[in-house]
Amino acid sequence: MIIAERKPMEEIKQLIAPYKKVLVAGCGTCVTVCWAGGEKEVAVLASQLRLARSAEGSEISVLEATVERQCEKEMVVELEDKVAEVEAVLSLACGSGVQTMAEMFEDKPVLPAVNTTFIGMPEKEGLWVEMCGACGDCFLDRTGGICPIVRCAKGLLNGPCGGTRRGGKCEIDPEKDCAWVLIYRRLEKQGRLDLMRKYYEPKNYRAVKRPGKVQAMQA
Amino acid sequence: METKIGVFLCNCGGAIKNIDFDAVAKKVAKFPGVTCVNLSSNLCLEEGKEKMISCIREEHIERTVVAACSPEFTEHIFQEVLEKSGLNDHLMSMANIREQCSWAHEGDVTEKAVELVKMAVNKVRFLQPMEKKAVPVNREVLVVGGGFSAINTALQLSRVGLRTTILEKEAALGAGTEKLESFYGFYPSSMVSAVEGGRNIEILTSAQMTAVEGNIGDFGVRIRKGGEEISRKYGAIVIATGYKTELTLDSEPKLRAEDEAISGINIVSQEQFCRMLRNPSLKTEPKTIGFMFDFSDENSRFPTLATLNNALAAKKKWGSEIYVFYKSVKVDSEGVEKLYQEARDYGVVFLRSEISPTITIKNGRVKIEAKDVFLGEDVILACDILVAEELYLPAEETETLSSLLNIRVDSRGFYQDENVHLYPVSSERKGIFFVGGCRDDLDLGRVLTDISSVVINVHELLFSGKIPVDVERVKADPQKCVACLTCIRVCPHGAIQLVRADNSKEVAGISDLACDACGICAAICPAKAIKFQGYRDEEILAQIEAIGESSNGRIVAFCCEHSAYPAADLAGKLRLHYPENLRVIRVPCAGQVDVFHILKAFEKGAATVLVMGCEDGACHHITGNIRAKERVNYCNMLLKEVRVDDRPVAMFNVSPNAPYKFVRAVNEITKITKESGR
Amino acid sequence: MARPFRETLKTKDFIVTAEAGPVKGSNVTKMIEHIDLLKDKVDGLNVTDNQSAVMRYPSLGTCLLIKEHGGEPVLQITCRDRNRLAIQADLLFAYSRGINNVLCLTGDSVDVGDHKEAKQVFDLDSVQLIHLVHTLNSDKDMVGNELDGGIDFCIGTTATPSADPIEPQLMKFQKKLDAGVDFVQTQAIYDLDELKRFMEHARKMDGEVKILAGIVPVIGAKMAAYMNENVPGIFVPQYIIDELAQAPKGTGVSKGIEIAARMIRQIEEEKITDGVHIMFIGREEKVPEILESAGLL
Repeated sequence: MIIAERKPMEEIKQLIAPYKKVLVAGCGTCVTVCWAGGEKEVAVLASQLRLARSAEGSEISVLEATVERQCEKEMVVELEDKVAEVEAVLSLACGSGVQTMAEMFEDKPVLPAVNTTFIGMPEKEGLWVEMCGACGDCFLDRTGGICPIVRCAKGLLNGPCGGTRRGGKCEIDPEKDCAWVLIYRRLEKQGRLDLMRKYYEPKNYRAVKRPGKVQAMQA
Repeated sequence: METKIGVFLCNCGGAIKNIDFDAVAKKVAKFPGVTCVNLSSNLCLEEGKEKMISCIREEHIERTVVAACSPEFTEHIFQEVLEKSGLNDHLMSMANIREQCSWAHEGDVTEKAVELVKMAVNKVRFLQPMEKKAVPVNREVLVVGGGFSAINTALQLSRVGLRTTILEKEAALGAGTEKLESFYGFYPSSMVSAVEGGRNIEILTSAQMTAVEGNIGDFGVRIRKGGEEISRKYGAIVIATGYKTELTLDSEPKLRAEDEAISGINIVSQEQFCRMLRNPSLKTEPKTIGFMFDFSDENSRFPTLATLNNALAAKKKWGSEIYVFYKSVKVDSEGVEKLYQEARDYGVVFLRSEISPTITIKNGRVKIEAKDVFLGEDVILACDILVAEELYLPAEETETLSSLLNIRVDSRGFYQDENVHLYPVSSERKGIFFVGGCRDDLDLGRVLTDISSVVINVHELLFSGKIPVDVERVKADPQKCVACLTCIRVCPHGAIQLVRADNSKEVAGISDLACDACGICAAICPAKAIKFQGYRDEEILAQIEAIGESSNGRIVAFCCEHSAYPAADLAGKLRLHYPENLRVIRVPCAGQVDVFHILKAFEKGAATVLVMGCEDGACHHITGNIRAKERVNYCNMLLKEVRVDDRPVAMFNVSPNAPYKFVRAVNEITKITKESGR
Repeated sequence: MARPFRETLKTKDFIVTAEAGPVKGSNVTKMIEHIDLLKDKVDGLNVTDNQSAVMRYPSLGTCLLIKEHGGEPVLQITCRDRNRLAIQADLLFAYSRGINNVLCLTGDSVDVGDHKEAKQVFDLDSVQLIHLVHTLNSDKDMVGNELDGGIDFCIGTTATPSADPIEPQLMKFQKKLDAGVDFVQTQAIYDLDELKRFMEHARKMDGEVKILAGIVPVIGAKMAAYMNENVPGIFVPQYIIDELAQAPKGTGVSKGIEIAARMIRQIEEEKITDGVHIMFIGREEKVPEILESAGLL
């Protein structure tokens, strides 16, 4: 799912500096699962903001609300009343949620409190790693189910590069595995190393023309 | 309509002298919802209890507050009283005005007493009734293993009326029991035939567990036997898979021509040596024998026993010259000191050295070189047979099984985390037990104790076919749960699984039977979906509100009921005084303390927050104190982001019987708080 | 006029190339000095391309200077900074100005350089780049358009004999050879046994391609240890570190040169590779000393 990370507190404080009444809006889907913007994090951030203002000697009124999915207009409309009461909205949803809120409530500044980072999965509780780059041209069949576009630091299709560290670690970050060594090991297990021996032509980087649009065939 | 709250104050037969009860009663009567306030001097005795029951009935009280001694003593008494008066026994909150107020501080403590009652009154408004239910459970037991521990556990379980299955991966039972024959005079064949003929016992050999689902009372186990998959249900699982030994020397034991001693190279294991001793057709009796133990592995109880037995037996049978190289002889098992003495009396020579002897093969004999500690000289021995040092290691399948069962192993890879609350035979998951050599280097006496322990535990759990539970004491609200799997991953008791809710969405399901009510899950849930009755947001925040309404400078301490709370009580009993501004919130585990609650405490004006839990490695809920520490660090970071404070949240670890440590911690923190001007 | 590298590859027994590092700026004086110093002593002179992701005077520009001064340049192109359009355009330009040797590289990540927030391109990887050069060599662009005036490059690439695990690297190497490569310059090697093992694989894969062993003098035990820890694809064995540690203070550079020369001599005598590629960035003026000690002048 989408993984996000709360912005540094300094940045958040600056974003809401001009305001005395804000709504902290959470989302009950991806950002809840990755501990960045669910009901708990909304409560914690709201608490922190009140404590911050009181330490500065000024006031702030912070409302709290969480909707099931902030990127759905029908769900976000529930916040209508609360949004009407405040001067600005601080959203803990991913970029999609923030923009949906901004569209629904055009007259209020909707500010992002998290940085949306990647599509990923948990390695263990509290640790998420990037898995998918949303390139629009998935070829995981050829790489044993390991994506080199985002898991290889250089996004190579005919990897590895010459910089793999001892033990199969990445040239850039010795803590990370070289994706192509992982791909090698996976394909070896499956007896499909021929897939790695093949030459792959340059990728179509325009498979998804930004801004992307997907029209379901049924509708 | 406001909930009717009845407050019962007790002065403990006049023992509480520094509280003005009339003043307290006056103030308390004004709290919203309080419809009656009673003062007694013996609330926990018959007279006091009768009065309480009548009051509750007559005044139609819906929630009760008892302000008296510590709940550790009398909670259950007053819970009974509530039941008798027709109220759900969960609708009560106690204010500890004796151990943690009157006895803990000098001078008049009326103000604090009022606050403590207010905290209880605030909390009690939110309490929900909790149902008790007797959940039917499966009464069958699965014993995994086929050696001495497994066989005897199964025999005893079957004899107390519990149907037992023995699951053994080898083709026959009784493996590894030959050693016992020569040491203890047990004859494996009779053990095995006893279990084979036993009623209530099913034996599955050449069979292995492939999957385990569910919880105590309802474990779903899949077993592979002979290419077929069998599914079974069990109420409890006992692991008795034993251990394995490995020679420390690189060279494999070479015993040419089974059980024969020859003038060639002979480095053998204890087991092989036993076989030699028992071999009636042994060609040549070894003249010089060397033994080695306790150098590489400190867990040498069993090797010690084996060595002494074998050395003595060999001396008696063959009269050979026997030399034992050792670092220390551990004689804590029953009868071992006597055995050691006997061996020495018989002429077995014991040579002590600090480091492991050097072993070489020379001229077809084994040469052992060591520096004897007492002689202060090098000793060189050439012998016919060396019974080499063996390492006591976890059995082969330990890692796989622990994975299947979702239970931890200790730092050496043996079952059972190194946590005193689990000893002797429990695991961190209810209904899963360990017995015998699979959990530690045990001698027979201790193994027998293990077996009795397990049988008693399992019998107590399963015999009646029902286990009483508090229904949905801790529950994940399926509407709010996003199945992030965090609670499932962090539950130290393996009590949470993914289940299908009514609308068929997959959500976290907490088993009432398996849940040990620690609250670690509730604190970490990012969707605030988990509700722990008695410790929900509303119940905790209500107590914090009550504290916050008084002047600042309060120190809020979340005290775990297994450690700091009893330590605080003990401090009171010993009349150890500490500052009055401490306000204790009793929690089931330090790991239940939520970052949100801590921040709220600061919002409401707390000067400092303490989180107090069990000592390292002794958390009643295994990982609670670790989670608490992580959260305290995180909280300090969050606060640093918004204030200039230096670490206003502190974590302390105390044992329940360490009142001095508790008092020291409180004094230290009070001092730091004052100095920082908070 | 220098001899075309392509010819040298075909005819010379032991090939020697070296590297010149461009300046960070537009003052080309020092570079020209290095070029003049080395142009007649080596068979080909490489110029790095924003090496280690540090922005510098372009390889293309320096190659022009080498050409002007009568040397035989080897253009280095990485895939990090340019997309497929820019790469094709640069190759056309280079060829039109008489540069016709190109080394195809993936390129270091911006994380190791001095512009850490730059967007990395990697529109192509090194194998795709080799294929691309061949396409242009046949007078077509990447999407099949006919070119009015094509190119004819002598193509080279890199290899990493010290990789661990080695299998994925060998697979990549095979792909490069299959794409068609005239010469290979390896990463710095120090362990000749490791090099020999690599060469065994390499010769089996392609008997024709010329392989030049990468030589980077190490001038101190600390540098060696640092490289082992931090520079991927490079491994300095303990005995060399020990030798460096024992050298008297202040003699690190000459010791490094001595060891390098010794390795080169051994490689030549035992015919381990078809030549060497000497990289002494920042100390280009010392390269003639290495060549001399190795008996290559």
